Amino acid sequence: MLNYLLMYNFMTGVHDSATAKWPPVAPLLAFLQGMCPASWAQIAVNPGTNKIFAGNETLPYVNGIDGATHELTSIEIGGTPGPIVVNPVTNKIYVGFLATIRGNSTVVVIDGATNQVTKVAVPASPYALAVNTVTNKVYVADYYGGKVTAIDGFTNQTVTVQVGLNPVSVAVNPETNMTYLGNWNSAEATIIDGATNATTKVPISGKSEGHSIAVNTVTNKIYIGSYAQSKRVSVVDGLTNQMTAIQTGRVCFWYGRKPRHEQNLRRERLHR
Amino acid sequence: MDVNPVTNKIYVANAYIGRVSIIDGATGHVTTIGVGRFPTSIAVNPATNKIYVANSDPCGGIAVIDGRTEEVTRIKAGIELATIAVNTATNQIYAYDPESVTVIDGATNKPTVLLLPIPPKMPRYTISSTCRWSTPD
Repeated sequence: MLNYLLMYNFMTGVHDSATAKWPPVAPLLAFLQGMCPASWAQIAVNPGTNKIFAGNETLPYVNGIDGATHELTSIEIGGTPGPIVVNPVTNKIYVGFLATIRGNSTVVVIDGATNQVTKVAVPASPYALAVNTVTNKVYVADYYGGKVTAIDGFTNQTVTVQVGLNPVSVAVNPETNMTYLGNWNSAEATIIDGATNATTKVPISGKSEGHSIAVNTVTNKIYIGSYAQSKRVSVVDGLTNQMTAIQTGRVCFWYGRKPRHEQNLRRERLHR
Repeated sequence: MDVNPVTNKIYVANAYIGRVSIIDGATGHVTTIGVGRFPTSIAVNPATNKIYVANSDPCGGIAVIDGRTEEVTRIKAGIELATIAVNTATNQIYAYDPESVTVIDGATNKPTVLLLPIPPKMPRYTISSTCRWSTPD
């Protein structure tokens, strides 16, 4: 079903772009190959320890890379890694198991000093992760279940908030303790107050938005990228939650391109 | 998409048109710049005002945008890059594709490829010799 959805958007979306060349070779190729990378980060950097952590989409490892020597350490996590974030303050690395199906899943916590692995069960399928370094909370966006789980970095205890929509991207403003979620196929973004876990929905431009999200902590503005026909970036004022739209270009299909040798497997999973 | 909080510029990858939109955060004014095929991930180094774009086309490579002059330098690296990240402390850039991590030295733009483990008996992909790198598409 998802593939049909993608095809629909692909068919209707390509040729209405004034700047796109015809024939649209790159989009066509990309479509045949299975589309863009996911919005999650499969690589994360700890600038404090100069360590880089990269996922491995076919093997149950996270690869730790020493930034100075380029030495590679494979850390077994017992599942396929999906999104990765680092909390440089606590030197902990959070890796969500690849989100392919609805249901309970796991976020793995790697101790950056010892490479020791702790598993945190989350009632969610981790699609995207973000860390609030001030409060030491990790936010897990669950696309399939329409939920967000906050992991307490000190205790690994979880609190889950139902957001109703399908979050695909998440970003934190640690200065205001607010977490912002872009939702798939929705003209709303979700804001979670880190202190109370209360959620607010703000309208954003068009539908199918929320592919990617970024926060400017200096200006307290949140930028939400569009995948949809609207080709807009929505700018949310962090103070007033007022939205303005900026015309740019279409970002990307939201859903992850897999390594070529795993594409069939992925498609099978999606067809369930 | 990424933000440079120092210059208040927002960089948005527009995969379908092979361009990056640069939003001036103060005025909302938008300009676009060609970076190569299928840009999908962006990382800003606010310390050097350089913007790194990972193109997920097999011939995409990495585009480096000078934030001041908006000149683009392309680096031949990676195959179907997925995500890119910057270590601002060391000025090293890390681009991920499912089979390798490409390290870019921010000072010289020199790439180093680190191969990630892949399942046994799986052939590794290499950059096609038919890729054209001279100009952004």
